Parts: sequence; structure tokens; C-alpha cells
Amino acid sequence: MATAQAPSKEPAAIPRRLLLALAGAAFVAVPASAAPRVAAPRVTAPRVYVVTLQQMAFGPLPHGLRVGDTIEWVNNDIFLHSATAKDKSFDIELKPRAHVRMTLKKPGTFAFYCRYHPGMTGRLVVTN
Amino acid sequence: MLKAFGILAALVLAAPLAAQAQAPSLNDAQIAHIAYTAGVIDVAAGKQALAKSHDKAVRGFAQEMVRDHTAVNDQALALVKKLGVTPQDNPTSQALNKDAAAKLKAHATLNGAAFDRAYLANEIAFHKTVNRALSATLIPNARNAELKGLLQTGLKLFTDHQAHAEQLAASYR
Repeated sequence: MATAQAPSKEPAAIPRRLLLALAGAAFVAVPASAAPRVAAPRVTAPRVYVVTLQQMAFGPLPHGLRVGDTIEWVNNDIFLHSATAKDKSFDIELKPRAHVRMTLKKPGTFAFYCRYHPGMTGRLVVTN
Repeated sequence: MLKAFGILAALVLAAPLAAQAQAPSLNDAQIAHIAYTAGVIDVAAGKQALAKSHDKAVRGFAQEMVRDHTAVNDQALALVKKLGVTPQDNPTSQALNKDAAAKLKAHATLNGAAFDRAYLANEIAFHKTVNRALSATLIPNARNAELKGLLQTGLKLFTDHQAHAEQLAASYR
């Protein structure tokens, strides 16, 4: 499975601590009620895509994701779930019935899974 | 536990015969009781693991079992209350309870890695057997659509639990 761009591809002169901070800032989880943050100007307006978790599976995943778009994770199950990137780009805990928004800040292919139920998996493809 | 597994396995084998006879071998009240009992047993096993194990991954798995099976059983209780059904005790539930008590007693004598291995091995075997019973007998025989739906959700959840336990056990061999 493809993975997201690794921080090690950045110029070597940038301190490792700064790189980690930048990598951590790639995804920002916010309550569903907050406004989405946009990283950079773009021609089309950022969109919000809802991904529903139910029946022990991530629902249909959106296509055509762009940097600046927002994923709203909605857990319709009665179980605690998470949306956790394999490359640690994001780790969103989703309590039963929770809605959590996450803004896409960098391009790449992000394989993810549920930390509690490793059989639940998915993949987001984000372009500039 | 083996005896209870045998009884559940017998349920699985009896399913085609029941279908031929056009009469389900279990009613919804008994099916609900068996599914609920299986959940209670796994919650008790998880609590024992949380009391005895010091392994981070095993404790995480045990917490997952307690949390998930409690959630399903809470939902099951709400459903039977809504439907006005009283879960009906039956020989399968009784055998499950008796053998689970024996298993808890046996595991109580183990410590450290020996306990962790025994707990995970039993979790694999227990989920495997319950999943077979759900697929072959309990779900096909459930008549109420909501009960059937809850059992189907349970099967997806328990299948994931089985895979998770197998994945963990492989790293403890």
C-alpha cells in the first residue's frame, strides 16, 4: 500500500525537530462545529467530505480530494473507533456518535486503519 | 470451555437439519440469551486479563474486549426491552457459563507470559466458535429483523476481534 510523503524528503538543512513539527501540522483535527482551516489559496473553494463509520467499516471514501479540503469523520457505530494513518500523519479518536473534522494540509496517499479494530482500513488520496 | 465449544459446534451442525425440518431449533429469546451470555463471558475474561496481565498490548486488547462486548450487550438489553422479549436461559447458555467459570479458574493459576498466551489462545478459540455459531445457526434462525441485524453487527465485530487476537498471539509465540 502506498504511503504519504515522508519528512525525510525535505532539505537536510532543516532541523529534525522542525520537520517533525511540520509533519504534525499536516492534519489538524477540530470539532465539527469549527470552521475548516485552509492552507493555501486555490481556485475552487475547499469542500467538506463526510466519511461515515458504521457496521465496523469506513463508509465510501471520497475521490478528488485536494489540499485544503476537510474530512468530517462520523462514527455511527456503538463502538469506539479511530482513523489512524499508518505513517502517523493523523490519529483521530472517534467515540460512538462522534463527528470530528480534519483539514487536509498536504498532498499524498494516506493508508489508514482503526487502532481498535485493525480489520477496518481505508486510503485517502490528496492532490494539490 | 471445550464442552461448551462442542455444544456450540453441535448447534452449527444441527442447522441444516433444522432448516430441512422447517423449524428453527432456537427461538429469539434463546438466541438473545446465548449471544448475551457469550458477551458476558468475554467481558469477564477481559477483566481477568486486566487484573493479571502487565503486557501493554494484551491489556489494550482486553480493554477493547470489555468495551466492545459491553456495548453490544447494552444494545442487546435495550433491544429485548423494546421488543418485550425476556431472554430465555437454555442448555447452551448454561454450558457456556459453566465452562467459562472453569476457564477463569484455570487461568487464575497462571502468571506473566504464560497467562498472556493462554488468554490470547482462548480468545481466538472462543471467538472462532462463537462466530461459527452466529453464522450457521444464530443469525439464520433469528426471526426478528432488529435482533438479526444486531447479531450481524456482532459477527463483524467478533470476526475483527478474532483476527486481532490471532495477530497478537503470533507475536507471543
